[in-house]
Amino acid sequence: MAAPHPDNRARQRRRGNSILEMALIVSVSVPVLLGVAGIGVRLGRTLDGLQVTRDVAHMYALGTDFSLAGTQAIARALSRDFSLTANGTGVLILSRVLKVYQADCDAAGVPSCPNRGQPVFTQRLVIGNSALRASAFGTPPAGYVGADGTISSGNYCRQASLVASGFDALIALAQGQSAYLVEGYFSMPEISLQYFGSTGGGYYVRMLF
Amino acid sequence: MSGCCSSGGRRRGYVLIFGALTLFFILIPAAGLAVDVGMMYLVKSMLSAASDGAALAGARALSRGSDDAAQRANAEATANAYLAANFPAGYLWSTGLQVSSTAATDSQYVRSLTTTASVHLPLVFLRFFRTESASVSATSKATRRDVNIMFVMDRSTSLQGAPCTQLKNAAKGFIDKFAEGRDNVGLITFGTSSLVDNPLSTTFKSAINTTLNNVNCSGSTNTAQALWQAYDKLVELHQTGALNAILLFTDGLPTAVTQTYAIKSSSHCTDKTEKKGVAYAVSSPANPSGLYPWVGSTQPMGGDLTVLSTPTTNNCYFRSTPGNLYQDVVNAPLTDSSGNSLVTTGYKNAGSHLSGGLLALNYLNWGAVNAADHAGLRVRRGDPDPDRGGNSVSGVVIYAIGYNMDADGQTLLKRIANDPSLSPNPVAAGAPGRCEYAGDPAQLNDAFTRVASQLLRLAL
Repeated sequence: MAAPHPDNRARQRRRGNSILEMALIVSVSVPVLLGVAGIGVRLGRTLDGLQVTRDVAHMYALGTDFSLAGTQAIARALSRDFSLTANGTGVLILSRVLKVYQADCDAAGVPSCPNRGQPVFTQRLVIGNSALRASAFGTPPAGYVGADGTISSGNYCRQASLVASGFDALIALAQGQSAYLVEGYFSMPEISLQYFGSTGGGYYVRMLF
Repeated sequence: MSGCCSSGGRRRGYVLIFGALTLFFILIPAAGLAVDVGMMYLVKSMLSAASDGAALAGARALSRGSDDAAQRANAEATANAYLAANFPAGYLWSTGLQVSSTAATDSQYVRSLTTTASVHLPLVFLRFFRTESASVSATSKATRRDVNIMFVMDRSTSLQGAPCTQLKNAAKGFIDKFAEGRDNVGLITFGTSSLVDNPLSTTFKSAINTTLNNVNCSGSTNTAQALWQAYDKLVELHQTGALNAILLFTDGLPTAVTQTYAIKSSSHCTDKTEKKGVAYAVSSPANPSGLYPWVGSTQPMGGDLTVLSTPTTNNCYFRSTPGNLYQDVVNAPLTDSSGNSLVTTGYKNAGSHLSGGLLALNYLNWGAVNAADHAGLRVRRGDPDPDRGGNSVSGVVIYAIGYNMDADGQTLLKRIANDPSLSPNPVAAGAPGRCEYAGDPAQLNDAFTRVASQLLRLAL
């Protein structure tokens, strides 16, 4: 049996070296590329969630009535990546919060004013999949919330269950001042990165207008 | 041979070197740039949204405070607080959040609030190129127009009792939400006639509260005169750069109208010259019960008006017998004293009850409804005001609150306010307003609160 030609052996060695080198390069570059792609997708969705929350909060603060089906459809159309439907991948929780003062109670015929000085919900609307997440500030009992999401002054001046818990820690409203709060939660179970505010595979953002 | 082996040695490691160079000088910097720029973009978006919310909330807070300086200070503090609430501390490792908000007067009737915020964002990859951090900033500006609002409040007999008390309380809460020193707020109350109880003024809270405390609910419902009077006051003020609005509160269809009536030759009136006054009837067909002063010096707080005084009405039938006005006056003219038509808009088909070119007196309340409807249309269109030399104000928005009204009354209010929910609306010209409805006294405050909220947001 004739020995292999020295040139062939050298060629085989070089081929093996190249494969090894390529493997080394790929082992570094592919994770980098996948990581960048993952971050990019996550970033895009995070921006989409942030943008839709901001837009809805802005419109809400300027008086858009999101209790109407037409305006809810607009909110849904604003989101490119998430489905804001009852079984969808996102939810927007809209709350109007008022710091009750005595004049509110007097006007509402509740002079005793049990909720004076408290931030209370005066409206609550939910667009999207409410099962995804509840508001960080509490949920008003359904019995007090009208069809258009409003809560009567007689109730919010009186009922302790309508106080927005923890809201004072977020911002100290002046007496009689209202705030328009929109909380968004967007489910991204396939891409979870804690760095971007992710909790349990989703992105939570709140906007106060 | 040596040439062969020497060449092979040079080629060995070529892929590794090339790949490493590509990885470290192209791929990783590109990925780093993408990640760092992406983070900067996200922080910029969050900061921009936060400052947007802060500016808007700050502009809204320009309503709070007893004078301009206090309102500006409130607005700036509010904006700064909102930004801090909207932008989580250390968001994406950002540091050094700086916020400044400034309230300013942009033009005579417009103030603005500008919020600027900036943070430093440490960079992850670009620091290898000696760029340790980047400064990200955002600026937002929101404006608030001054509001001129004439509150036109029904105080007719049908509101007597708890509704009247609740109405006054709710009205006080409504007035309290506007900015003293900048906004102009006035009050017209109406029953059988109407009176400008508080002219438009930037010092209004105490004065209007005093008026409201003294209101007695009594009289008929002369909506057209009150609406036109409100427009007349806005024209008189003539601040076209401000948000000009009228809030109409009423609990029923109009039943009274102010006109100049010709006296029949067969009347027993000693003085047969034409007489200007208010006639009212609460249903159709029904003859009006008398002729009342179109604006009484004691109107409105002391109770209802009494019929036109003697001697101009000496011996008139209507002075002695309710329902006898038809024996003294020829039928009703087709326009009221403010130029509102009793037939044109046709909400009630009064046109089918004409006699000799005049409206049959027993259908006067249909005419009163149409006159109010027409007054709303004329106000929204910004028609010339003859009492102000033909001047006008365009863009007046009408809000309406109805209390305990049937569907007929609610539709009329939607027409007057040009509420978008009424479709089709044959009188849809002008700025769209909104009609709120309260079914019981407890809901009155909510209706007033919603309107105040909408008006103040409309000013932004």
